[in-house]
Amino acid sequence: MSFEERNTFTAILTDLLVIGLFVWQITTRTADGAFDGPDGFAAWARLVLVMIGVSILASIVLTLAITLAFRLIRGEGMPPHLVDERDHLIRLRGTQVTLLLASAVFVGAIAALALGAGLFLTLNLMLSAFAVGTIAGSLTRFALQRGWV
Amino acid sequence: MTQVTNTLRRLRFDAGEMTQADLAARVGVTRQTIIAIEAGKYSLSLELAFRISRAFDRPLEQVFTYNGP
Repeated sequence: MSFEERNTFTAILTDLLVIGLFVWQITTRTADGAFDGPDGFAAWARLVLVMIGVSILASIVLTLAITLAFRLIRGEGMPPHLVDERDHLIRLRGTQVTLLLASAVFVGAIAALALGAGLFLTLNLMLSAFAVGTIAGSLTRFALQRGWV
Repeated sequence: MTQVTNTLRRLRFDAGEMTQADLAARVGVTRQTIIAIEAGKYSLSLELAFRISRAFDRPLEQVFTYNGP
């Protein structure tokens, strides 16, 4: 597994963990009524900001854990920090997929608002646009790196 | 699949059974990129094509062939 492949593998796991955390926090707090009332949107925004910080920390911790796991289980050290022209091309394809899907879900959120969906649902849909785009981009990169497509 | 075929496997064999990792290190790419080029799954840049040709001390056309229209 090359440096870029391991980075992508780590990114997929981190994305799934962070998305899971977001979904869990937003659904449980919504059920608890944390976003009700006039300060509901501000509370939602504070939660999202905190979760962004948590996701950065989770990414660092998970990267270290995966590196350690590869070393213990497969006896592999950190691969050389080599990123070549194929890696750059694959990154570009991944970014294209991310932007395409994020844009599509974002437009879907606007359409939902236009059709009468609530502001809170629209905000969550906009947030999920980035989540869907990010995970799809990472999966695309991994599939291209492994030669599956 | 790319329309550029190559003789990398043969050239590596002729060069004392050079490994894909050895070739990758010589031309400054990952082993995965060499694997993809050999399998015809990646259209490499002209610059990398020249670097690979130079690694085998062969002219470009002896290493890569364009089979398109």
